[in-house]
Amino acid sequence: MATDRAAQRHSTSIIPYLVSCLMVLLMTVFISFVSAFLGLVNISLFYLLPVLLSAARWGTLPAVITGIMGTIAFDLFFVPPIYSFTVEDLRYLISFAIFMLVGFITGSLSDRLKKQVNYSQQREKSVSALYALSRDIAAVDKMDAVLESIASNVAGSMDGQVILLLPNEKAALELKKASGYHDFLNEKELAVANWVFEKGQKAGRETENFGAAAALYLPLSTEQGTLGILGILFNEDKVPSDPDRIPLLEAFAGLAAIAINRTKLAGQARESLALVESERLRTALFNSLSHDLRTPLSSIIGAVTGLIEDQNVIYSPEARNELLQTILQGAKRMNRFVSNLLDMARLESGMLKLNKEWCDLQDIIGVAINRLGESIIRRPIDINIQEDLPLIQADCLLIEQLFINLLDNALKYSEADSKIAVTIRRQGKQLEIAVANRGPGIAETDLSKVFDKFYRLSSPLQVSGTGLGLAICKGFVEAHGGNIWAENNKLGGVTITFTLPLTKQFSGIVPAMNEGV
Amino acid sequence: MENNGPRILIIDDETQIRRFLRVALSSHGYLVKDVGTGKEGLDAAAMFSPDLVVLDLGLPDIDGIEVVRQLREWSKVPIIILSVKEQEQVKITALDCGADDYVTKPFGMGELLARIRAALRHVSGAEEQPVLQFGDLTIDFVHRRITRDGNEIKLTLTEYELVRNLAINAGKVLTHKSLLRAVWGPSYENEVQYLRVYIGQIRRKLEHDPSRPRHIITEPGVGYRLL
Repeated sequence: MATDRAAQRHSTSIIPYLVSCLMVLLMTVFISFVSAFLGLVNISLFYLLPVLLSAARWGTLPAVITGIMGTIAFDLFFVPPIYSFTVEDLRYLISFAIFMLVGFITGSLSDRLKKQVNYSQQREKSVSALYALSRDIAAVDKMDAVLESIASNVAGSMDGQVILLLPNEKAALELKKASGYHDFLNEKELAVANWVFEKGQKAGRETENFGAAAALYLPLSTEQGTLGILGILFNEDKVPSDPDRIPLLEAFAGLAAIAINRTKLAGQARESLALVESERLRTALFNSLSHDLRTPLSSIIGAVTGLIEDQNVIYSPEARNELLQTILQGAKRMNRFVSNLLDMARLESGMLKLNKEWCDLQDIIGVAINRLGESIIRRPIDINIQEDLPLIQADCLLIEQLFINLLDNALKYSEADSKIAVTIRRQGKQLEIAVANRGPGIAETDLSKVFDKFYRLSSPLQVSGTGLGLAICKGFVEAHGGNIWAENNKLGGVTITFTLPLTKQFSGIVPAMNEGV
Repeated sequence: MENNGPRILIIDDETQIRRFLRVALSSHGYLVKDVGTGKEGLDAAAMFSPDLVVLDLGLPDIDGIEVVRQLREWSKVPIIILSVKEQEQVKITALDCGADDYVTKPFGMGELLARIRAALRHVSGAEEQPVLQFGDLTIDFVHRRITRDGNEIKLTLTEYELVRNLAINAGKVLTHKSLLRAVWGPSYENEVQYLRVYIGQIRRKLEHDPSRPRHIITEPGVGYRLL
């Protein structure tokens, strides 16, 4: 665009006239050498050349001037009497008139051509600027990135400061993005922008409305109404403004409006999806709460009332013991459920803080097995721990809970006498821990779903649980920067494997004690 | 019921817990007094002169840790903390401030009774004996000999010192800090990894199955105890 303006500047400067003069002068000198061989008619034709040239190069006016100069030179230097004008020379007014005509016609033709070239260049620039913008905003889907891309693209092709104003929650216009400075946006300018926002019409500089404003404001309009304002403060030009830039800006504004609208709609779609998801979770939580809390409560209340009301000692000692065991199991189950809910809440609220210290996984697995107590004692457990397993920096309590949940899960989803295998080994810069059982497999499509909240497998075994255990495991493992996945064993059963990164390594060197025995 | 056994003071704001503790402990022969606030607890500790205090960390008026601190200003009475899982850090602070042991709610009665017995035994100096027996393990302090089923187990000096510290506090939890301080010295009290390495080594020598230890029990995040 800048070079265009330079070309326009050329046509109004005096350079074409000087060059035309020079051409006429040179032509005169040239003809003076060869005039002896030429007739006057031919000489006059020679003077047509500079006229044509300047017409083609600079248009009508320089051509006409060249024609006049050519006629004068021809008359003065070649038409006898030489070096003077006489009345007889009036005959040559005919050639003068033809010169004028040729200059005029050629000039206007070339003017038109030039305008067309200019116009199509302009069009191409606009189209490519619009294309660049549309390509850039299609590539991003965050509102901020879209606005950034609009501001920088418009500023890049318009040579000015671009601001984008969008309504905030209270429906008041707010500056959301600016390319370069934006301190011109004072109260008055903001009032103009607000007017544009209300009316949906452009206003400000170079328009009929508020022409005195410093910047130009265009509405970002869509079918749903005005989404915001595109404001531009043109860098001060010395040359008159380009009339084409307003339509181009309007095209930019249209494109920007579409992009902003699209981003907004995409955001709303995401929100509604999240809403549906949280709705689903709430339902699952309610079901889980009502089932998993009520079932043990029912058994506890039933057993306790049976014992309290047993005035006549109907129950045998064995029966009493049975009832007491029922109460204990029910209470333990509720305790586990509450712990799981609390763990999940800690994970989800972001309150989980890792309390990292050096942990010995062999030690922790012993603790976990102890904690599981009776349910695991009757099970054959195969623990395979690689020799010289390094200590690891982790939150020992969370890792313990992780083992408890995984072992509990492995126990629940397998027959009462089948084997459980735990394998711990080092794999490069991480430890890999696998817990496998010999229970029924999981459909391949469900393998990743087992870590979802409240997802529970249908199992032939009567399994009680919260559907939170593995989701918590996933949360704990990821908090440590590890991965967790489930796979079916070739020989039946399911293996759940997780990794823990060995971030720091303990040298293994421990000084002997300081104090003597 | 006339109880002449050890006197236990219970400080807990939950009436349900106090009720069941009162019933269960007096049935086991202890003389029980229970109060609901820290202030009352501190007063009762002076008036009732208990042999042991069971203290809940979540009191309505005074911070549980503050109760431990104030008690420790003038008394060596054993304190057993009642805590919940979510108070891990507070529990460790209470132990480092001088509390003797802890149980996590919900707890079984057997667990609490074992803690109470261990704490009382420790005060009575029952451990100041030349030879202690822990199931198949025998620790002979005089000859610095440890045997399992009659077979001597060779321990390094540091290993022995660790076992000795655990043994003279048998049944009681020893925090990482207190063990490190006792064996390596005060400037090493945060080097938990030393303990991990040494306890691992000791277990490989003492335990039948180091993955499922029966003597040296880990209290995750807190410390170890010897049973």
